[in-house]
Amino acid sequence: MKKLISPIQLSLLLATVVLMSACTEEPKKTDDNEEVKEEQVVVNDDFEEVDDVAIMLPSPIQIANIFSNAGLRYQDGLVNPPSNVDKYNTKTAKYLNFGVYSADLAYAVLNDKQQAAIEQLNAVKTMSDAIGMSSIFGTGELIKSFEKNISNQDTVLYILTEIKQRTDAYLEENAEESKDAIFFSAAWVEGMYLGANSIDKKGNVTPRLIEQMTILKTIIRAINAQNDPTLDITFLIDGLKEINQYFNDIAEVQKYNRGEIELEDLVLNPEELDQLKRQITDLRTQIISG
Amino acid sequence: MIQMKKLITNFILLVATVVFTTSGIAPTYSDKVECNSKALKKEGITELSPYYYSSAKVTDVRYRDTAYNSEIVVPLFKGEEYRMIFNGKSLPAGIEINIYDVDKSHENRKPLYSTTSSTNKLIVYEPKRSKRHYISYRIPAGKNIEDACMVFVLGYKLTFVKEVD
Repeated sequence: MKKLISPIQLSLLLATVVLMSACTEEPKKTDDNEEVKEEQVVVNDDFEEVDDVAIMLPSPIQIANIFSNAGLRYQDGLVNPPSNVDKYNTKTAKYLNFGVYSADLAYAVLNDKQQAAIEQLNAVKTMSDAIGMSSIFGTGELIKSFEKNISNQDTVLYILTEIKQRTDAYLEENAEESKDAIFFSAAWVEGMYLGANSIDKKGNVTPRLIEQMTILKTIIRAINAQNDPTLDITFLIDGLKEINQYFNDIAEVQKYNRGEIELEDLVLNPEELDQLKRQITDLRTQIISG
Repeated sequence: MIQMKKLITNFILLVATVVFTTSGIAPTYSDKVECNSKALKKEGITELSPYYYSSAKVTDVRYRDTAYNSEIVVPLFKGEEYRMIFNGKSLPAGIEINIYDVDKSHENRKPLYSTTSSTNKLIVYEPKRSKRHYISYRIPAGKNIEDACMVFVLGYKLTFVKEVD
């Protein structure tokens, strides 16, 4: 009987079939909607881990809003006077007070202090120009829009958010993301100073101050990662560490840290609050002194 | 004549073998992928509305021979509402995103949410509880890929408490 196919032909055919089936396929794409469900999922974490933990710092505008909603009211004479911009001659002082004036700006806006808000915005702009970030304000259209819409709180807050976004984008484009920790820590100290010294109409500001203290360790961690050797922020880090140490040595705070009590049950006595207020005020004074 | 036919048939089979074995095999992770973090972030910010932008974190993803984790600590405040956007569209392979409410020192911690990044869509997550969150990216093993990134954008709801006299 005549062979239909020779051994060589058969081998070639088999080789073709085998190698075709070994070709990889494009991963299938699904069009599933991303239904977000909170569920308990067991994950296998048993593989090499990298010890790189990044910190996401919150928005100073949000912190100011939290205090405002808690009943914090504007008190004249507390903010860093805009006229102080002229005394900030060092790079460190300029960076820190950019943060300070940002917090003062949010404080003025959320308390509808329009003239104070315009003055603080100009102080922020002066500091941003001084540290090479003048592009954040563009050709002046942001300031014009701010002044034009000063009586519309929603619009003004949107503008503040736009400034924050531009600042973050600038830092990223210039590979200076770590400087955000410097701006934020100065803004945080200023916000805490304002919170501790302003009128607390509803008595709800103190719990929010305490809540802010629980993120101080995270702030210190972020600022320690700052990598510009020309910035002299040792005093700031030491001051924050001292405040953090005092806070975490308080007996009630230790209970909270151990998980024995919830945040809403964490209460400090008047002496402890006064000591914290003094430490925050001292550090703030150093920052705005330049 | 028969020999010629055999030769032609064998030749065709040989060519077919060569063609089919060299086409359709795309190395899974050998292409260079660009990370346009600015565009990815802008896209993420657009998805935040009506939440206000808080901050963003771009995580450079560098593939290695073994899988590894990269983590972000996200402090959140009590009673506040948040939206998290993950844009992994520049990534060639799925990064697993796990969100926890305890840090990695807690053994056997279980994620509140777990998903895999996609080239198709943004991932949107709104935490049910406003306490500190830990975002962990599990990056699978891969070779010859650089400049990939995952962009995370955080937004918060701005609320105003009206004063009651």
